[in-house]
Amino acid sequence: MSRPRSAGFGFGAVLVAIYAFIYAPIVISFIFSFSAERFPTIPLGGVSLQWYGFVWSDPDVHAAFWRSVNVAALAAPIAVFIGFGAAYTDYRSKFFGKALYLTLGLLPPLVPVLILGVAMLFFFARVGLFGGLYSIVISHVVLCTPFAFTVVRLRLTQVNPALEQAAWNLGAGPWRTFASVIVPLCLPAIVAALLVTAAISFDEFAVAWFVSGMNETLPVRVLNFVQGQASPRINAIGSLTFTISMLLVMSALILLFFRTPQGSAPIDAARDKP
Amino acid sequence: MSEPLIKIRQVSKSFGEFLAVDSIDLDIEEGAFVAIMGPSGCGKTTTLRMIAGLEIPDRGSIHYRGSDVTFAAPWDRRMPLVWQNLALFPFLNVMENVAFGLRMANVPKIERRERAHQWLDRLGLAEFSRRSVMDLSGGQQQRVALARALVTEPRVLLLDEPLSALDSHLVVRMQAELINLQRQLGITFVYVTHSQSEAFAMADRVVIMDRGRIQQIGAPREIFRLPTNRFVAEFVGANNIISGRVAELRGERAVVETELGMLCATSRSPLALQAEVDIIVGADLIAVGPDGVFAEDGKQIVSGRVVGEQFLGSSVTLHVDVGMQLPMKVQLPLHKFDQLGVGRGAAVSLSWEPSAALVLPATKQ
Amino acid sequence: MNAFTVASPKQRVARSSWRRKVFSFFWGAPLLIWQGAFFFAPLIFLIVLTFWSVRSFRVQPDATLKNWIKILTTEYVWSAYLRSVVLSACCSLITTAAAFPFAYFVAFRLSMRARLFATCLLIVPFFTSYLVRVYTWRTMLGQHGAVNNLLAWIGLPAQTMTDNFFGVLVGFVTLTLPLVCLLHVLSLSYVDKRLVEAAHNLGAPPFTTVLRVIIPSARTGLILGVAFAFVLSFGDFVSPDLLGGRNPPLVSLLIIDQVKGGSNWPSAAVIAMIMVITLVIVVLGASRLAYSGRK
Repeated sequence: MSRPRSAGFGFGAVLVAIYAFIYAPIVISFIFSFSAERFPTIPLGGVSLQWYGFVWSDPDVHAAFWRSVNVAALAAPIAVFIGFGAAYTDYRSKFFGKALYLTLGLLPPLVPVLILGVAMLFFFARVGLFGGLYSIVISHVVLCTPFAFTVVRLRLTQVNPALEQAAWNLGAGPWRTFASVIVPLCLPAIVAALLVTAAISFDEFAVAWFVSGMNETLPVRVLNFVQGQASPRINAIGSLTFTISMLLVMSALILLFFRTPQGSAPIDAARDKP
Repeated sequence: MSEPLIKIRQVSKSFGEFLAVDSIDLDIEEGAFVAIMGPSGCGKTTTLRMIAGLEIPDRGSIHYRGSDVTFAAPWDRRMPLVWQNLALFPFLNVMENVAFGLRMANVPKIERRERAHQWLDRLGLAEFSRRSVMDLSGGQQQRVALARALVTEPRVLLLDEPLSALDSHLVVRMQAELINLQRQLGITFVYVTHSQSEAFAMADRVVIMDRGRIQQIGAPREIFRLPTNRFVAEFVGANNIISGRVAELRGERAVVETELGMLCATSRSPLALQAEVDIIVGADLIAVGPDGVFAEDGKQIVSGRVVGEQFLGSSVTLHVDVGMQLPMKVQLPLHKFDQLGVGRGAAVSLSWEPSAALVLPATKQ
Repeated sequence: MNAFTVASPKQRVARSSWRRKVFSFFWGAPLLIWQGAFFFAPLIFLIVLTFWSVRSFRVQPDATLKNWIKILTTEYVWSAYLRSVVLSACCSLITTAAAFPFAYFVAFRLSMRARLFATCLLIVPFFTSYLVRVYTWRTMLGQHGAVNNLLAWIGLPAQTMTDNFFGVLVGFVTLTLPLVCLLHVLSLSYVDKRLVEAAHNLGAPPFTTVLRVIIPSARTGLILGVAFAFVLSFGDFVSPDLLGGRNPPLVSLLIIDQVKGGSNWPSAAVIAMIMVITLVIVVLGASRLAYSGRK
């Protein structure tokens, strides 16, 4: 099959253009964070670590960073607990209205964050849940649970249902089966879900901006920076948060895909060793 | 006669529209090796699962040692199952797998390990106790599954086609091991299989099921020689089935009008004249010789042509066209076949004693 | 040995399944409770709020259509709405026009490994801060920014690329392009290659194949891509702010102004509901288009 060379070129150009467009701000932000000048441009005037230094020593940034960490540290376990429970329920039970249950529980990522943020702001203010770190935790759990669900549910599809039944058969009631069989089988997925939800929470700025009041998380701090004083500090923070998020996600991927999966398809009993 | 260990009464189970088990009654005595056998979809596995509590009957009751356990949760029954796909816990090593049931019974750790080790020893797996179950061969995994079930010292062991995934040379060995174990321990085995040879080799009593119903219960030999209906006759062994109508009744003997002529056969249940019947003749009970060799002295004689031969090792099955829709099957030992010297297309005579032919009322298919 | 107590069949079913029901409930209920209380309730409250009123700077429960009438008859709301719709539609078109050839190349002309790598490269941007990217664009597209410097170096005049629709579009595309590309790559990789081969076999030149075979097969992905891009960009408030100048405003900015600026929450709620209704219509319309005509 002959393909005209020009077509290949054309496609290649589109590919390059798109990746260039997507990665331009990312790469340039990274470069700008090392700028010696207040208003960096291409070509870079001089190289310096001053912005990282400023960010490192800025008490507001510190406070915001730790708030982000605390929120993620609280939101992730709660979201994974709820998401895991929902995934397990989906895996094991059939009940009336199950499709509805799932749709309702997993809808949040599809609703625009602006709407969610505004709705939560109004609601929390009305019921007195506004303005604390807990407000952000609550809203992040709402957003992150569907992701935790997906990660765990994927893992559960690989689990042989006979394993649970074998445990029952050997005397384990539902709770003991859960603790002794399901949890060990799902452990990598649980940890991966924790890492993914932590990453999502750590990066989330929109809803947090609405419900946090004065309690800024790091992304909210960035939003306020961006709307106020422009400076390469922002690029520095951006590079740092990117690194942290990537680390979290890479660890999750390694756990999910590079460990030998256990408890998968039924053990193949037909082998040729005696 | 003491109470049976397990009593199944009028148990039915449906899955949606599909009736898997249809009003079955079954008694299982203590210490017996009972095999439940039948084609795929006959309900044998469903029955086993209901005994284990993994399915709840829609109707009927199951009693164990006198108590009604129909609705008891699976973890409250002490009837470990050896699974078809083994269901070993991949996140536990061999020792932990075997000790699992003891752990669930809250047996202290030291005692658990000791008892698990005893069983591993007994089944020749002691050296693997710390290995992951995934590293073992099929046969070894099978034995781990067995040890896991037996370590809890149950009164009843349930087995769901445990040998079906093993290579054939392993199957024979494992069968012998299982028979030995059952004899030594004296516990009740309920063994589900689709393989006739397995059921016959191992069980004291065989239960044959088809389409949710029990077709016949009895000792292997009884089922083999004296099937009670057409399904069992076709399913078990090599039997020839000749349909006909009862022409005469003479006590235990019946004369039946068939497309091969008037045949004489033995009946074990009352028959009516003109009733539609099937005559069952075991393939190994038919003598075969060159055409015209048999003298008529009360035997049934039929002529035909050899259309096929099947070499089974120490025996041969001959397919002989005698004018019916299906050829008749004759099974003879290899040395007899060699003596006979007949090949494809040869004209032969078949002969059997009337006592070897069984008359059964025809069942509607 | 355990003892099986003598209980009636009904009692026994009740007891064993009660324990199982508690167990299932324990694991299944939290999702319903949490999302019900913190996802649904706020959304329902948003609707309810549109009927409340503001008296002396305090929001009071009420049952009035006043807010709706006021917003629906205000000129600048509609003009902002129109601008938002037009810009989001442009974003959808641009991203689809760019993503489709991109995805075609990746799905059909790259090896398995290259495709995997290309896909991973599309996923990385999700973990960078969208805020920082938009901010970086602002510095790059400014009067004395990198892009204008480049243009000057080539000899072209400086362009105003921020505080206008162009800037907003750049931001929107930054937000939506990776997702739309991903969607199209996935959708096209599910197109049955044999159909394509059959078409080539019957003599159809590549472009015709694309028109007649590939686009119809990948229709769902295409329509979903358009819908996603529209929904995402319609709700975005960062690009209109940083790259669009705040004038003239878009719907998302209107909402934020009402919320952060004043206490007229019912009005903000009305505008938010208008946004929700628009998006629901778009999504429903897209679903019907995408899945109609399927056997």
